[in-house]
Amino acid sequence: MILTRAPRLFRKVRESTAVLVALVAWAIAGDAVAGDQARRAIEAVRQLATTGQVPGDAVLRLGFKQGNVDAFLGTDLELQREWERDTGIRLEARVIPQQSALQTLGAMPLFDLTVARNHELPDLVAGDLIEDLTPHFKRHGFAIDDARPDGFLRPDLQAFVGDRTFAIPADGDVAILYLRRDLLDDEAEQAAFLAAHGRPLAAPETWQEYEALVRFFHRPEQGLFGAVEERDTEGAWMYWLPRFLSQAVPHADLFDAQMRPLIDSPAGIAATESYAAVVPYSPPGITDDGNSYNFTLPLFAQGRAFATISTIAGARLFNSAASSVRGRFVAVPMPGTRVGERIVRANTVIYGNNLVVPKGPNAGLAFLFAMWLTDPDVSARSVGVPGGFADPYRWNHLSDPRIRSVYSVQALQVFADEWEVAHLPGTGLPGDAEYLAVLDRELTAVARGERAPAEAMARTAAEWDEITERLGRAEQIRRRHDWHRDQPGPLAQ
Amino acid sequence: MIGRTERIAGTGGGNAGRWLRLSLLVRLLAMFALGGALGLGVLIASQHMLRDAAERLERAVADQVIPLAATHRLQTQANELRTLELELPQMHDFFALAQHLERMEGASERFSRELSVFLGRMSGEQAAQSALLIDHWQRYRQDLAEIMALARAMELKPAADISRVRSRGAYAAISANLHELVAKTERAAEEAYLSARAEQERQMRFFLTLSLAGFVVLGGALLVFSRSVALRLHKLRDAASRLAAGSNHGAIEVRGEDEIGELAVAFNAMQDKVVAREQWLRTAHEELEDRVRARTHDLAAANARLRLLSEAIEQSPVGVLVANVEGRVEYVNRAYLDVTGCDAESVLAGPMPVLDDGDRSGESRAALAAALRGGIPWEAERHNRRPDGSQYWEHLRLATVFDERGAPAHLLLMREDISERKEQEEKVAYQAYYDALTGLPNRILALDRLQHAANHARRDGTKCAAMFLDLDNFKQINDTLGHAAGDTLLCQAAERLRAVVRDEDTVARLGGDEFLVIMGGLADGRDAERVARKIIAAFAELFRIEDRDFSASASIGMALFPDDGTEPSVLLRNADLAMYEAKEAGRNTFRFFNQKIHDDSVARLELERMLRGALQRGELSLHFQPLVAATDGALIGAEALLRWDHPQLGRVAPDRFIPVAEQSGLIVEIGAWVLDEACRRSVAWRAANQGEFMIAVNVSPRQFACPGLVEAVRDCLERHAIPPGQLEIEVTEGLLIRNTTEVRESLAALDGMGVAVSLDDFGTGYSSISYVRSFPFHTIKIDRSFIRDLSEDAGDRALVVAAIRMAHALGLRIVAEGVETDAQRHFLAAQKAHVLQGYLFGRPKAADEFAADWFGAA
Repeated sequence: MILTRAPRLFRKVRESTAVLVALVAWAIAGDAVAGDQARRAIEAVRQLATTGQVPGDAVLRLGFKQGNVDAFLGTDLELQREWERDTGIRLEARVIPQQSALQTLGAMPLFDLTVARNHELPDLVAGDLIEDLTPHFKRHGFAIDDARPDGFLRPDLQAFVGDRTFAIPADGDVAILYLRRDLLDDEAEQAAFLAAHGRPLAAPETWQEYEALVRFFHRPEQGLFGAVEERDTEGAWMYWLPRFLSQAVPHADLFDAQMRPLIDSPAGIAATESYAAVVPYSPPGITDDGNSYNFTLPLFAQGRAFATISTIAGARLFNSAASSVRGRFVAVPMPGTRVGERIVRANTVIYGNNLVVPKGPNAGLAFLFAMWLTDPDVSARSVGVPGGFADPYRWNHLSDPRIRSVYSVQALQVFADEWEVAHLPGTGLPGDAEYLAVLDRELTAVARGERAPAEAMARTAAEWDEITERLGRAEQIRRRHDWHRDQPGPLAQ
Repeated sequence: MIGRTERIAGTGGGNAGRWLRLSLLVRLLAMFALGGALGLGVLIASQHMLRDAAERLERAVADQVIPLAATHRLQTQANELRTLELELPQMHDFFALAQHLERMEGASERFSRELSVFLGRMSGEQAAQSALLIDHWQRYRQDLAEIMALARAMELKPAADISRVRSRGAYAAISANLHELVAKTERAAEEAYLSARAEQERQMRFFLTLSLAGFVVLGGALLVFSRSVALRLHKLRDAASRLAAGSNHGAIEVRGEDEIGELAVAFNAMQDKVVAREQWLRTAHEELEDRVRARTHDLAAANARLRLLSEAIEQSPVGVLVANVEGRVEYVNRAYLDVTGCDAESVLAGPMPVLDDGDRSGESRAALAAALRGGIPWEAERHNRRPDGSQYWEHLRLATVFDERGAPAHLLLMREDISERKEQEEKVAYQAYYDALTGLPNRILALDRLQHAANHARRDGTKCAAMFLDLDNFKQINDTLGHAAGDTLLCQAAERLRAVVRDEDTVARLGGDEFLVIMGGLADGRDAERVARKIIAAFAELFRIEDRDFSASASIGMALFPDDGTEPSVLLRNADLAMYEAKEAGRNTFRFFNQKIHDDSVARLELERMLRGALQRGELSLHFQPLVAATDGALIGAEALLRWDHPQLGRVAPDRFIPVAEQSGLIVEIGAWVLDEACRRSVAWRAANQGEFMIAVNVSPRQFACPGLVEAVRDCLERHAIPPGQLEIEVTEGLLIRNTTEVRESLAALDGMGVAVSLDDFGTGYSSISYVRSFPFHTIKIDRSFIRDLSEDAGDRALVVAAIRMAHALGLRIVAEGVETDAQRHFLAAQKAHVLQGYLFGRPKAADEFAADWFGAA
């Protein structure tokens, strides 16, 4: 299934029948197409070199964040040597600062290929900072699809802006809740919890159940905190949005049709309250600036917290030999909201690194490198690096033995399921960085007890309206309509 | 020469003798042996030196370079390891930590392996230093393991403390050890280098000496050998050069018994033959040159002629195409392309053009095929069409060009655009056969068509008709409005004629206002009559000329084949006669030719013949009829009347011979005589009549048409001293109808001379008051026909009264002719007519009789 008009088609794919068909196709096809994408990319590069469209001494400049080098170029730069051997095109990888792609490309547009997070795409497109890859896909017969056995995971959330393709997914990240399995399985804990709450100790289905678990296991005097969710200002929205999306049924929209913010709605306020509810059960300093996952993940890995929310990368860290919780943790689906007899769950893409091509003379060559790198076989070798940085982003990664040993089968299964309820990250509109910065600031204020949730959301709504007016309401309405008309609301379970 | 040849032959016998003679081969082998021995010696010496140098190099690499490189590698890896160690606490992202630790582990393993190899190569005397190095590395490795363990447990701060304090000393000790090893290795390397250099210099000196001695010996031997060979070869070379240059210096001197000596003998023999052959060749060459010169001259002349002919063809206005016998076109000139309108590429790429004529294809093709078979020139003229659609006439000529054996070699097709010539021919033909004004066939073509029509009628047993047509009013319109209007009338008349006849009939213009219509396939004269009536009807409609309407009727005479003649000229003449009949019948009608017309015509011609010379023969005379005053009957003058008395015919009536004189033109001469004779006679009568006597003379229109009438009258008046107003010139209305400028001017001139002008036969013709007013008349004469029935016919009476009153009103004198009774006389007198004439007063009489009657004397 080719996804040039991805969103509408993806919806169909998500239907169970289509999934079944895809699984059958996977079983029949096996590895028939694996490696073909890379081979065609290599041939195209050779063709460019033969026709003189690429000089013989061409150098492809790659801008990756710290840790990405191994992920994208392989252990001991194995993939780099392979690419240079097959194409003659030298790679020059540089580490870029840990900042937004908008800042990086605005200040240092000297890279032929770099990475950007999913929610950053609208701003990069609006700023005309990245190449529209649609013509390149057509020229080289390369299509992004989610077909099994080796298609991309939900590329509709990661690669497109409207009906144009601007990125190639290279790091699949959705939010996953990690809990201490040893505590959940402990009979004494189970008995105590049943006595306290009248229901068995189990993974939470709702945010309320999650908060109850956190409260139950918060024992700072024993060196155990209830939760170590990030409450750093930067990226605060990532831990708020799943809460909002599951609350705001039936339509999880941040804006109405006239681009008036819905963030100060009861759903927005409830999500904010839920966001702040776990702060009292977190370690001191959780709301300090700079205490990101570098602060929270070691605590969970060292066995000093009951719960945390992270990407699938968390499983790799917790499953490492040095981890105190190796074999003692479990990945579970993100909680939802009870609506009648149903549980409405929602997730969103957080973090994540997509390959984008900044505007420049080597765009064609950079695209071909990205095409080669994201080939099912080649990408499995990069994701399968034990100390790697990129997380699985193709279906074949989930079945790769190397990757399964790094992440654990259980975590990968939850990871695969969570994509089914995932939504677009952020606002999906130009100005996303501004909108989210306001939201992050107000969420932090609430987490620090400086502002009530309702007030924070009202302020956020007011500032969002100002941003919308400044950017042009009519234009934002048009983009919202054009870019997201096929995006569904949260799925009810 | 024989002796030399034998000597050469003799040298082929004993190879053993040649070896004993120190032949060149023997000498060369000796030289090679000497050179080989020398080279072998040098090779052995150099091999020995190279082996020594390699051994020294291997020792240097093993003893100094490898340990030095290994030491540097160890130092580099230690530095890398230390860098990774120091970078560890600086990691911003825990997800990148694992990669970093992997790198540290890798670097640690590599250093350990490298150190193990390095220590294995160290000599025994360095054992203490090796142990020290191992000790330092173990300490540093333990520190690194502790640091990495802390990092894996995400405890970066304690790891950083170890790096900053404890591991720093271990790393520094390793570095110091390695530096010391490097320094020792470098010193040993320097000593080994100096020793090796001294040994190499010694071996080099020995090698150079040995080589120099060998080359001196070899050089001397080569010099001796080359001189003995080279001198004799130079002599042979010089002799061969002279021979090649054509100069002969005789046989060369032979020395030596080796191959060069034999070569010299053979050369002398060859030289003798070459000289003889050269002499023969020179002679043959000169003869050949003479022949070539002559042929070249002929060829140049032929080429010049060919160029001239080629240029002539190229510039020729006639299109020329050359094709081979297979029909493939090989050449076309510019004119050919101009004539046919084709482009050169298409013509040259195609076959010989098809020469079929669209209209006569069979004929053309057969003729062309016959011409091609027989090699006979073929030509034709035909109408053709160019690719652009334009049409043209072309003259084609096809000829076969034969080769020297008489076989057809090429086909020559010439095409000439003769459109202009054709056009000229058509124009000339048109002008010769067609009337330029109306576009109708002219007289020549009309007669030809008439001949064809007659022939056709003869074959078919039918009749054909010749209709001679004359416009009744043409002259009047032509004189009144001018020639342009006349031409317009003719053109319109031609159109109407063509409109009423069939397409197959011919309408021709014979000249002036005469047309001829030829119709064939007639059953009888009624068919022609119907057409004549249609023509009359067509001409009844007014003609529009210069925005004015004019009436122009037609008089038509018709003659039928074979009834009225079988020859075109006869038919035309008879139709002409019939046309005159129609004219005489009052115009605007038609007449068929019949025998009476013919007879009348014959009679008229006979009368004309007789009339000629009548004046000279004295057969003509004048009679005079008196003119009397109406009031009292007094004689006031006489009208001179012409009489012809022929010896055989007797007296011929004036109305018979005067029209003949008119038509034949004899009237001009006769009229002049009448005027003079009348005036001469009147002189005496005037004197006898108290000086008053009006002499009236009739002047025909034909006389007015001839120049000199006015002068003749003036001469007559002067000659006979006729007083003004005593001569009256009588003219008829027929003259006025023509109304030409000449008539008007002549009448005015007569009036100016005092000559009275009288309008004769007033009332009989087309009398028009406008005529009376517009011409300088003095008198009108009422015709006798009105006077004769004056007493019985009230109409005539009314007309006479009206005429007299009109004359009075215009101040004209009125003369009444044909007065025969007193009643008539009284009536006319009562009406105040001025002059009376008629039998009542006297018949016309000869001059003498008239004089006797009126004056009593002859």
